[in-house]
Amino acid sequence: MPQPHRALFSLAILIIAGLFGTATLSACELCAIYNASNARAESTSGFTFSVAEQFTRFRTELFDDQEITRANPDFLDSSITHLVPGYNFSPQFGISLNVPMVYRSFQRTDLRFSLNGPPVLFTERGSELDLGDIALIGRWTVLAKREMKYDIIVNLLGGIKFPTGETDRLQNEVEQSEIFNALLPPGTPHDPLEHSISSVHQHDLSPGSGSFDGIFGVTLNARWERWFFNGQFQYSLRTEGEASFQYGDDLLVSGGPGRYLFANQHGSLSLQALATYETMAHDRLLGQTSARTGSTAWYFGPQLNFILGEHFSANAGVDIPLEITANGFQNVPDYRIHGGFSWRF
Amino acid sequence: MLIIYSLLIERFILLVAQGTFAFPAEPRIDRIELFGTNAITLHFNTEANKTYSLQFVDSLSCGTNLPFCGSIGVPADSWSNLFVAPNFPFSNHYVIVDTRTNAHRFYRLKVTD
Repeated sequence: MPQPHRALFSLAILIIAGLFGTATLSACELCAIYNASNARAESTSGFTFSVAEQFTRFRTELFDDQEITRANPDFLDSSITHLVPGYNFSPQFGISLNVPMVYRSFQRTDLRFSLNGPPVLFTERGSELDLGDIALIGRWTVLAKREMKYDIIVNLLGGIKFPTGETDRLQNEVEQSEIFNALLPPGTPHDPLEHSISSVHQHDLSPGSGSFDGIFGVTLNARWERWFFNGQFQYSLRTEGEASFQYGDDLLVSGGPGRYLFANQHGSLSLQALATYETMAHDRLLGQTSARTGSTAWYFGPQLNFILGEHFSANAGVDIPLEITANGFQNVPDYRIHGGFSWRF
Repeated sequence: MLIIYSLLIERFILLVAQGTFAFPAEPRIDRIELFGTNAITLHFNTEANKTYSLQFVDSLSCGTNLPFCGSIGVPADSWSNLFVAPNFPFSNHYVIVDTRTNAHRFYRLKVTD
């Protein structure tokens, strides 16, 4: 068995063993689980505050789905910290503000074109921390059945992402595309990102999009005694942003079964097997679609959920890529680590 | 032995005719165009895993007996790099701008593994 598959197989065994390896449920534990699911912030009115972090290591270079190995490759390590103050008007309606802080550590070798001379090959290496695009998200709980033995909650989410993040890199990428276009004979078919030879692009590093985007989602939380299933669907509808650049629409579906490993009056710990599907459409710039952008990925990994009392909850997990396809020359994730905590006031 | 050679040649001709055998592409400058009032653009394609140097020289006047001249009367070591396309794991198309500072300029494309 290849090494990555063996590691994944071991991980799956570990998760299954964790899910099945605990004792049967007593009535008191059910009370604790019932209280625990209420601690997930949306069951009562009032203020909430969450912090969520995702670290992604983009160190695998793919060219049209084929892995490339070369000396001194481009890389990107990305860390996005979301600060999310929220307010629940009632158990049914709530609103939250997502403030992302985007940190990137990267290296990229690319060409800089000009109209006056040959292109210059350069290597840029650095780290940057910036505010990203802030989003305002509303929640409507369309179904909520909470019983001691089971519960099922369905939320509809909708919101707007605002162009608050820095967009200098997008502007620079479009400028380079315009210069390259000018060098070609009129009518020459070409990709708008043909000027770039890097696998880490300016649009990968840009903390902002310069666009107002729509965000739509559905979440499902279902529990039967000690077992539960959480799932979410999220679609980002992108519009034209900085200097005509428009990111491709983004679809994310994730979910999986889980089980409470322990629960008492003080708190609970649960383990979930989480599968994630994520696909990004082609980007557009200068009125053209770039066939060198867009990707689709499948991830799988464990997630631990911890709840303390009636106010505090936290989670942490790992996403290991099962399959990634990417167009053009791109860096794709080796793995993702995510975690966060919430406090309900 | 003659029959074996003959069969090999027939097989080679068949592969070429079927388009299943490709000769290695010769490095070549595909196009040179005037660009703006005082520049030109040079176009060339690159193959994967090779380094391409676009070089120029302003004069080909070279006596055949001079030590720095090649056998065809071209300066052997006075070429300068205008642009070096790095060794990359995929093919690409390059468009290089050069300013027209001289009345004439000669270009060549040099390939190394």
